[in-house]
Amino acid sequence: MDTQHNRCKLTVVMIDDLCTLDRSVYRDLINLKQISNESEVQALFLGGRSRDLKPEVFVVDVDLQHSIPSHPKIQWPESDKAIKPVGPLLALPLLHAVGGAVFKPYSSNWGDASVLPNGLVLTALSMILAHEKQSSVTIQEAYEEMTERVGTSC
Amino acid sequence: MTTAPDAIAEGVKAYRRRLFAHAQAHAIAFFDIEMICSRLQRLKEESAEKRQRLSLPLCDTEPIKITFIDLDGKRRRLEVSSLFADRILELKKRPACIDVISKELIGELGEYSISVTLESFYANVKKLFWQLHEKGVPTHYKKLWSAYVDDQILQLKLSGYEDLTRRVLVEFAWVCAWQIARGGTDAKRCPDAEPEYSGTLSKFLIKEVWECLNITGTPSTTYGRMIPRLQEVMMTPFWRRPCWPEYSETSGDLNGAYQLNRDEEAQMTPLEAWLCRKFAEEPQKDGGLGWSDSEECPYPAWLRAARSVPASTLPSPDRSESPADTGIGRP
Repeated sequence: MDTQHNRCKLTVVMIDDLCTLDRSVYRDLINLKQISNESEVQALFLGGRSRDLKPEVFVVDVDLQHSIPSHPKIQWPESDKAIKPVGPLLALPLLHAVGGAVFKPYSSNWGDASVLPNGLVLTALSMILAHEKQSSVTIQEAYEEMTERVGTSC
Repeated sequence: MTTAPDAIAEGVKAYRRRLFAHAQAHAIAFFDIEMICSRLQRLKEESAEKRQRLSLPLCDTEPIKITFIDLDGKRRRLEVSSLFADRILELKKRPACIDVISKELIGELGEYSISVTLESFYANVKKLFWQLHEKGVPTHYKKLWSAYVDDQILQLKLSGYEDLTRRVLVEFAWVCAWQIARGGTDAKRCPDAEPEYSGTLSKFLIKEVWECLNITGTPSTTYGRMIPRLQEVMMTPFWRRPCWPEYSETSGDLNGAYQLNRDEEAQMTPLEAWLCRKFAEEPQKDGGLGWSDSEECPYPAWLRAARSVPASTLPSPDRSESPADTGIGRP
């Protein structure tokens, strides 16, 4: 399909390190793009590309362990699975850079000790939830909201 | 959410809800929703006959899209199958998902739908404007609205959108007047075109607005509130709202409320703003004014950036008004 055609589709950006998604399912429906690490997010706003890229939706995987190389001097919250829960942090600069977009965090590890009870993750999630609700959300409220979502639909 | 497909489905649904809520809060007009639903229905029937799942994107001669003017005043087109990607995948591309999509489109946007294309609406209002402008027969301002129906074909084409048409006609006249005042035409220029809100520029603009629409009947410096009063011509409250937010029916200066003589942002719906800019920018050979916003001949602020209509001025959605009462939907 030509560019004009693609401009008429919603653009969904995935902040995800391992994309196991079957992209063919979405090919005729939406434009699907992937960002997998901090460098690609930085390239978006440093290069001014966020003005050209106008996604309607961001889906944000919490754990990006496969896109962040280990370094002996860099520490991460302890976890058996070596989870690196930085996805919500990477979404933060995009909340304002791409105004009007919808952000949806997701994870298969919500129950992991390094994810939902993690204050750093919750700080970032509180920003995303505040953007979604267009009203202030504290870290405590973010914890309660996400716990509820995990317990139900998440 | 635990998986990417869930998050994508939720994200698309959330975006759609936000778009529809914006439409309701800011009077964003969508075009031809009924026609879109008819086209979708035909696709459903074809697929059902062939006992096939829907092919994507949803497409007849071309992909089926909704068109609207967004809050930035830009025209946007979105494929229906993209906007409802979650529904289509949830229902596994079965023809029955057309009913779900149509129901949601009509339910959420039916009231905000204009049953013509954006292009034809613009073309018809523009044609009417130039007809009034070039008629050569002066019209009393109270009869401007009956002059409007002289052309039976145009009347038919704009039927159902009289209020919006009347308002945009007057706004087009203000665009013309400002272009002249700013020296954008060879004809004349306001001798004192400083952006003062009363005095020379204001009088000049008002006179030009009258002349643009070939109106006589009151002194040229009296505006006479060309957006008509209810007792003169029935006009729905939404389209009779003042151009400036601080004015109201009771503020005492009704004429001032409807004059676009100030170099400030005015309350316009995204559609009104888009139509005015299109009219200003379009080359003269195509019926526009051929006016580009420039340092030498700048647009007034209300033409450059419209202030979106605050939700408080809109009819309450739970009032028992028909679409005709809101002034947006087709009666």
